[in-house]
Amino acid sequence: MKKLTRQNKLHLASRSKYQLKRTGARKNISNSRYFATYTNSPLIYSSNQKARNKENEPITLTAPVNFNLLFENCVEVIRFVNTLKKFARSGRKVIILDLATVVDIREGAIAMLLSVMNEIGRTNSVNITGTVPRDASAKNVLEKSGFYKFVDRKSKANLAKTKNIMRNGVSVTSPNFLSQEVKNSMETVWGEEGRNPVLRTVIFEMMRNSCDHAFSKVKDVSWHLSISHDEEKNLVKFSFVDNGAGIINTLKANALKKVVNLFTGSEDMLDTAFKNGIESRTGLKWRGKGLPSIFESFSEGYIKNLLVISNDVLLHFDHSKKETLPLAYKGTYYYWEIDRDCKQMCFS
Amino acid sequence: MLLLNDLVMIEINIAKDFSIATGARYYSDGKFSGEEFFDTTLLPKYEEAIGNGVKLKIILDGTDGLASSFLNEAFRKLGDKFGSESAWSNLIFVSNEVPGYINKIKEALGESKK
Repeated sequence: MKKLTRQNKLHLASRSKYQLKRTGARKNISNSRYFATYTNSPLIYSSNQKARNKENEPITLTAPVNFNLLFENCVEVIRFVNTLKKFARSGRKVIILDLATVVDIREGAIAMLLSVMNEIGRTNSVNITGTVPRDASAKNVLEKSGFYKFVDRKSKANLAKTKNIMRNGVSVTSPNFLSQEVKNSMETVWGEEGRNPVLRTVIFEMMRNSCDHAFSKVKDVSWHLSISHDEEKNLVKFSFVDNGAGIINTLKANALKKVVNLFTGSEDMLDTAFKNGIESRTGLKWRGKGLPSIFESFSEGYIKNLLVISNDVLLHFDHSKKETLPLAYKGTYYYWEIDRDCKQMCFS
Repeated sequence: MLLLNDLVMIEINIAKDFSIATGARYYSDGKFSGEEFFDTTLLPKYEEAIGNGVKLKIILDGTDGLASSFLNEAFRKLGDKFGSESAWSNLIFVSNEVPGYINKIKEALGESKK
């Protein structure tokens, strides 16, 4: 009987979930529970597929220990999701996301990861699987975030105990759920359900902006919204992410193409766009009121801790931080919070 | 003391007469857009008010939120049709919940062609 080559073995290993687990287990991810596969193509291992394709070999991508989008950690997370995209684009069929060593995972980074997985799933035949964090606290955050609803439909992750949500959408046209989620958030912060027109408008403007600017084709419109409730602290954390072209790229490619030199850099351009200064700085008629509307909600105290990452720029308005990052995220990410330090708005 | 104009004033309550959950700018953006609000509610009521020689009172309170694109499209079109100064002088707003909406409407009228 012909002896199997290493490549044959790898191919066979990648054909079953069981073997896939074993393969992964040998790669420093032992003692970890797998989350099930996230795939748009269950038939990628057809019998007539060439066994020696490198693309069929599972490849492991290890997540940063601090899987969050705080300034000091965001570069590593962006590098992680960019590498994931790169693997998918290169034709890899099986990608293992190793989250076993993660100790600090937060909703914003989870939303960004899901957004990228969603993008990959729409454009590539890829099977993404992975491990859950060994750290109990990180594992708990991941479970409560709603992540498994997206990656593992058979998961028993119990979201009934929490008001946390993670929603994705393909356009701004039907955000019917939004009003109720805003009311739920007000209940967590102020102790009673109520309308908050400013908060609903903030999220709506983000959705609207992702449709207006981030994508060239309507069918590509996609966003992820994560809302995380901390009842003990009367705190709600929000993350919104789209995986479009990003605000900076869009501004440079279109409206501000000829006046780029009026800004000291990308971070100045983005900061100016949020602070409603594009028109006064450039003399251009500027109808983009969505970003200034978001910033107003922050400057008037209705939301706090507002952070934006778009392309290679990070803005953290609470700390007046404007930074150019060493690498870019192709899309836009927002994070903000509401708690009792914010100006109260809760109408019955 | 009540004036005659107050008694016969035409009124739009966006939450009751149009929608609590309003949308974005264009019909193509989905339901309850600014464009739809202009065509179905704002324009007919404005014309009715002008026809009766009274002001149009618009109640902005009570909605789940009004996006800048919604307000911009609806009131810019009103300004395009009737002139921004004329439109502004014929409108009365009630916006206790989010007073900032009135500034956005003023800006939108300022962007109109007339």
